[in-house]
Amino acid sequence: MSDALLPKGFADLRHLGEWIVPTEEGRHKKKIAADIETARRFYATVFPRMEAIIQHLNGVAWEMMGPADRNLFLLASMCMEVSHPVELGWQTTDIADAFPTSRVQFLSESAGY
Amino acid sequence: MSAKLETTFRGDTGQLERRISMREKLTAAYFERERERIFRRAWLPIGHASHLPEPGSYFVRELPVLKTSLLVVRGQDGKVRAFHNACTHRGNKLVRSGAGCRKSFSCGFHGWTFSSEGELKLVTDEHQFRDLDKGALGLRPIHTQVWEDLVFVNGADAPGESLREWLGEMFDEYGGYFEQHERVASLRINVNSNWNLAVNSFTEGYHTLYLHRNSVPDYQGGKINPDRHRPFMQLFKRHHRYSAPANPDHRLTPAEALVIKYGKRIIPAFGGEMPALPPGVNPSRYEHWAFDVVQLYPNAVFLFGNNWHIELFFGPIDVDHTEVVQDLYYYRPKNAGERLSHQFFLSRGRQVFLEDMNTLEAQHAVLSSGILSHLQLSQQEMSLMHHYKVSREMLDE
Repeated sequence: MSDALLPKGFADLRHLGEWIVPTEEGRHKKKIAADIETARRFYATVFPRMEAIIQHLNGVAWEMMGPADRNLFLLASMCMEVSHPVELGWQTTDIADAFPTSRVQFLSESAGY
Repeated sequence: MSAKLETTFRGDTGQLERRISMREKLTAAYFERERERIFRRAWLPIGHASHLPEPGSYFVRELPVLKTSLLVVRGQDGKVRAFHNACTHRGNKLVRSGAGCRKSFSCGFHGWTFSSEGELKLVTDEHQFRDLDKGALGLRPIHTQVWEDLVFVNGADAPGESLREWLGEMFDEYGGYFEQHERVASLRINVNSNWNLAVNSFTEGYHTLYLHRNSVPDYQGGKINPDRHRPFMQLFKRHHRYSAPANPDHRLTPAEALVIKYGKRIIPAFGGEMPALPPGVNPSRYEHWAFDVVQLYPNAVFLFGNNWHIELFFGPIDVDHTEVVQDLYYYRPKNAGERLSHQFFLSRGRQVFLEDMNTLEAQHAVLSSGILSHLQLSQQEMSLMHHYKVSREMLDE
């Protein structure tokens, strides 16, 4: 996969393009399709950069956000998604004893996520 | 010895049964009685007026328990109305699904056209009809009222109670609360379970220590309340509510600490700045308050927090099947940091919801088999006792 388009200053994350997923449903499914070690590596790479990501994106008007900043936002969103199994010490990325994702319908995402 | 928090109960706790027989409740005959005696007489929340922002805005809401589909429309006069979503010519479904904005609604069968106020405006080749009374052939309305942005319908020919009477003292206790939040996520699941069991799974906190031990391990109770007793429960004529106890020693994970630095606290992190919440939210003003759970009888459950709320709708399809919809509403974000904060909390909340959903089909299979004759309920599950008491009363009235 070619490198993802990200804002200047975040070139160290460009190899993570496969984790840039535009919908809540897509992020959830990407997370549970990954094994826990892969999720931990992704988290270990992105989480230390989260504060810098937030500070950068907070300087960008949401309505004016270009594709590079948008990609960075989505990458950070995936980090939030993956933080739960990693930080809570789960053995898998899909929680034990959860209703099957294949039967869940993700409806409108009105806030534009 | 562990500390104990004693629950403060308010309301009429008489006539509650601690052992609930379920087998009959899971039969088709009982469900038909519930349909006619409960659902057809209840005020049912079906959506938000603010989701109909301008004249002509509409959404379609399926309501299988009333054997109907509803078309909910804001008229050119600004009023929100709900109609049976059926052309009055031959009964075709007028709008198949979805939401949008239209000046009029034309049936795809023969082109009969209705205004956003429901009047029949145009009949194709009208002169071929004899004695057609267009004035009597408007869309069939269903009783509709709006409370605090929530649209309610009542399927009775003449409702026995107004919405104000139905909601009782809660009617005046939530002023302005809903408008502080916007919908950020929505999930729908069709579950092979009876609607009562689905509602019951979201109206007690006894399960949180175990079912949610992995997803939100220390968010409630803590050292001061290790059994997570509800600090406050209140039973109304139909509805009930209780407050959930926060854990003052909740340990923030690194991501959680980061997102509350750049955003506001949402479940499972409670506390923080408390604006002047309406009197119905945290009604006992409990110091270590997490959120409230409110059941609007029969089949809507709301979680009311500070900066957020959750709406759960349990739509009976038949005795064995229920459509469950969870809508998350959070404060309006000002920047990307607050949106990322939302992402953290809504993804955690999804995990909790999927755990809550996963016991239902097992419960339904066992309880409908008759292997267990009764549910045994704790004081901490009093809201379930109350739910079945209200059902008894409505079925017998």
